[in-house]
Amino acid sequence: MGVSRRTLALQTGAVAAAVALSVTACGSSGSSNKSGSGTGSTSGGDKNTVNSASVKQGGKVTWTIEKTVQDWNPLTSNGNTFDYAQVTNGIFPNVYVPQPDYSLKLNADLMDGDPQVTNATADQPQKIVYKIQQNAKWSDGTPLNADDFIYLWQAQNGSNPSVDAASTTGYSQVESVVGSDNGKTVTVTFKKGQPFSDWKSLFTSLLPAHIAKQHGDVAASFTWLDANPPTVSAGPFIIAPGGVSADKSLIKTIRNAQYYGKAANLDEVDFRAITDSAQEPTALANSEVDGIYPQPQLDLVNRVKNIAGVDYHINQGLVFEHIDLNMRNSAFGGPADADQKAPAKVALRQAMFTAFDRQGLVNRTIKQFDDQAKVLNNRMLMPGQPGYQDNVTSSYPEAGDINKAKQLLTSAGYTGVGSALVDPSGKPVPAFSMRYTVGNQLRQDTSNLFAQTMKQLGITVNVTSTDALGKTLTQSDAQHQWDIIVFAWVATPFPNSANQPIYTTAKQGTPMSNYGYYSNADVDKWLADAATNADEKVRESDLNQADAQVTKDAYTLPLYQKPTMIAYKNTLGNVRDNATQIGPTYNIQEWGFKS
Amino acid sequence: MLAFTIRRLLVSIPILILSTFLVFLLVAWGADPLGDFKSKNPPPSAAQIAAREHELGLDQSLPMQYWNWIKGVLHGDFGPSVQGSAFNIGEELGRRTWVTFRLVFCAIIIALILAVIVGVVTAVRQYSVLDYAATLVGFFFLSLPVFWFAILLKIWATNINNDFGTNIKTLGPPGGQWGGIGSWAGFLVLPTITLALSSYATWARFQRASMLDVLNSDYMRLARAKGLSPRRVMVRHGLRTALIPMTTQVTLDVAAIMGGTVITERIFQWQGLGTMFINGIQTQDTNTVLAWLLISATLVIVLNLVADLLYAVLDPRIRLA
Repeated sequence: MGVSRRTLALQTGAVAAAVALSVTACGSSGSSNKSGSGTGSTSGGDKNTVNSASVKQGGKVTWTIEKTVQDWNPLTSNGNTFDYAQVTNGIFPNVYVPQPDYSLKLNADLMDGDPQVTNATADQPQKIVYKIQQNAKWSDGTPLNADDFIYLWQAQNGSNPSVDAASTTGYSQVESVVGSDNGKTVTVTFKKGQPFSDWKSLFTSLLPAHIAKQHGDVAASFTWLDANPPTVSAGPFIIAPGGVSADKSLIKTIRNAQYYGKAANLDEVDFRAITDSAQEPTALANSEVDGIYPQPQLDLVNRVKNIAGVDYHINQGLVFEHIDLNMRNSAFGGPADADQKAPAKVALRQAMFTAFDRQGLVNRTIKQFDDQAKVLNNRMLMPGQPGYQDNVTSSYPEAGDINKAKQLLTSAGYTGVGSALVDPSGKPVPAFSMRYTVGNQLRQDTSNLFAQTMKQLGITVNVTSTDALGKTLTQSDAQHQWDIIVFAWVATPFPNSANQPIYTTAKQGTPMSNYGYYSNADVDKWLADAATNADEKVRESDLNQADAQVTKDAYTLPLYQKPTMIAYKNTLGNVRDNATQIGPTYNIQEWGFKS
Repeated sequence: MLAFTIRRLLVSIPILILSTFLVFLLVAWGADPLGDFKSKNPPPSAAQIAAREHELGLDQSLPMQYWNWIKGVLHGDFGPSVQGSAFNIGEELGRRTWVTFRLVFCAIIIALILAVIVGVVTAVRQYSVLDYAATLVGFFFLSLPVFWFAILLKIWATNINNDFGTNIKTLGPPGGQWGGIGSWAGFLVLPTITLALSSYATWARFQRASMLDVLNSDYMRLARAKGLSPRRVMVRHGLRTALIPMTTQVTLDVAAIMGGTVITERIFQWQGLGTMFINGIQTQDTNTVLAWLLISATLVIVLNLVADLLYAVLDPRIRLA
C-alpha cells in the first residue's frame, strides 16, 4: 500500500486469508469492458478469464512501463515500485499470486500443494509448512529451497535496521524458518501469541539466496540485489544477456529455458519505459509497444478508442479516494486526551459528510470516461472482495442531503446554520483548511466542491494545495498542516492487517497511517482481531464492524475507486488487467499471440 | 585574447557557484526528497527514515549539505540520488549528455543550413514572391508551440507508417543506441524536425536581415564595381560578413535549444538531460537537479565565451584584451 502512488507493497504484510482462494470472481459487474475501434470485440465476463484465448508458441511482445528501471529488488523501499515489479514478476516467483478478482492463487509450478496451516492456540504458536516442488530450481541449476525462504525472512523481519526492507509486516511476527527434506520443506513458526491471519502475503518475490551469499551479509546482499539486474531466474522469463539498455528504458526478457513449470508461450517480452503517459497511445498506435497500462484520463481514453486493432478495458481499481478529518482539530476532536465522541463534535463531522454530494462528484469527474464508476461505500473492503457491504449510505446518502445535515447541526445545538456556524457553547466554528496534492486536478475539484457544500452549512473551508503530501499528512511543520484532506489509499487483496495501522489509535507524533489521530477502542479491538483471527468469516465481520463504526464516527468519507485501464493489440491472448499490486504481468507466461 | 579567456573563465566560477547555490536552496526548501518514502504505508520507521536521511546527507544543515556537494563535484561525485541505489548521477550525466548533444547537434546543423540558404536567397530576392512565401513560412514556424507541433508530427508519422509501411519512431532510441542507419533516421527524424524548425525560423529571419545590411554596404558596391563575379561577391564578401552576427546568434541560442530539449525529450521519450531534469524535479532529487543545472549553466557560460571569441576571430576590427 502507498499513498496515491502505484507502489507495489508485494510483501506488505496484511495478506487476507479471507480474500484468498474462496473468493468468487465478480466478473464484469462493476467493470466497464469496452472494445477498441479496431476489432469491435468485447471481452466481458469473469475478470480472471477475460481475453482468454488459445495462443501459439513464439513471438515477441513489447509492454509499456512508466519508469526506467533503477532497482531490481522488489522488496526494498525503492524497489517496491509497481513498474519495476512488472519486469520482475516473471523472474522472482511468489508462493501465492493475486488474481484480477483479488483472490489468491497458489503458484502450483513452485509449490507442491497448499501449505499446511496449524492455527495458534493458547499453548501453541501458529505454524505453516510449505512444500516446494522437487524440480523447482533457479536458472543456473541451483535448487530453489528453504534457503531462499530463510533469506527473505532474515531480510524482512526487522531485526537488522541496516537492511533496506520496504516492510516487515508479518515477517516480524515469525519466530523461525527452518528447512528440512533436503530443503524442499519449509516450516515457518510464528511467535507465540502473535499469529498472522494474512500469512499468504508472505514469501512473495523469492530472491536467490545462493547469489546473495556471494555479496556480503543480509543487508549488503539485499542492497546488491537491488542495484544489479538479476542474472538468474526462478520464473518463466529471464533477463536476456545484455538485455538492459544503458538508459534502462528497455529491458529484454526471454523465455527461461530452465523453468521447471509450464514454459512461457512467448519467446520474448520487452519492457519499454514511457515516462509520460500521454505518449503511450501514440506508441501503441505506431506499434512501438503492444500494450499499455496508463492511469486513465478522459482524453487518453478517447485516443485509445480511436486506435485500430486495439482492445481496452476499464476496471475499478484498488486505489480509492477519500476525505479525512483531522481529529486533532478542536472542532472535530481535540488534543490527545480529548473526547472525540462529544455529541456536538460528532454531529458536526456527520453533518459535513451528510451534506456532500459524492454522486455528483463522480458524475462530474471519472464517470465521463467510465460509465460504470460508482460511489464507494466501504473503506476496508473493496467491491468484489469477500465480505464487502455498504456501510456508508445509511448515514451519508450518495447524493448528499443538505437538509438532513442542517437538521443534525440544529439538533446538536449549533446556530447560524447556513450562514456562519456557531457551536453550542456560542463559539464560532473556525474556518478549516482543506489540502490536496498540487497538480492533481481531480482532487482540486473535489476540494472545491466540498468547500462549496460546506458553505451551505455555514462552514468556511479554505482550499489550498500541498507540494508534499507525506509532510502534510504527518504535519511535519507549520507549512504542512491540515484540517481536512483528500488523498488516496491503495487497498490490497489483504485487508485484514492492512487496515490496522490506518484506523488504530495512535500516539501523538507517531500516527503510523492514522494521520488524523482517530481513536475508538472498539475499532482497535476489531482490527486487532482481524489481523490474527483464523476464522475468515469472523475477520470479515470484524472489518465491517470497524468500517461501520468509522462511518458512524465520521472520520473518513470514502469517495470512489480510481479506475484502471489496460489496452493491448487485439492479436494478443490472455493479457488482462490485474488491479492488485502485482499488475497485468501476473500471468506473463500465459501471454501469447492468438492462434 | 588568452588573458581575456582566462579572465572570463575565472569570472564564471563564482557565477556557477552562486547559481547552483540558489537552485540548491530552491529545491531544498521546495520539497522533501523523502516525501514519497515517508508516505509509504506501512510507514517506514523513524530509524529507517533517519538512516535514509543520513545516507543522503539530509541530516546536516543546508550550508553543510551544499558544501559536501561542492566538494564531491570537485572529485567527480555528484552525490547520492533518491531515485535508486543504482542511479549514479555522474554516469547518468555522461551518458545523457551525449544523447542530448547529438539531438541538439543534428537539429542545429539542419536549422543552420536551412536558415542560411533561405536567409540569403530571400535577402537577395527581397520583396519577391519567394521572399514573401519564406517570410510566411518562417512566421508560421515561429508561432508554433513546440509541444503541440511535436504531437502533431507524431500523429502524422503514425498515419504515414500505417499507410506506407515506413518506420518513423515516436519514441527515442532505447539505451541511446543508434542501431542501423534506418533505425537512426527513424528515431531522429521527428525530434530533430521539432527542434530544428523553430530555430530555423528565427535564424532565417536573422540571416535575411544581416544579409540585407551587407548587401547595401559600400564595400559590396565596390566589389561589384571592380568587376567581380556576382557569385564571388555574394559568397566571398557578402555571406562571410553576414555570417558573423549569425555565428554569435547561433552560439548563444544553443543554450536555448538545450532548454527546448526538455520538452522535446519528454514528448519523444529520449532519455537525455531534459528527461533527467524532469525526473529530478518530480522525485525532489536535489542532487540530480543540481547536476543538470551545473551542465546547463556551464554550457551557457562557455558558449557565451565562445561567442565572444568567435566574434573577435571573424571580425578583425574587434580585439579582446
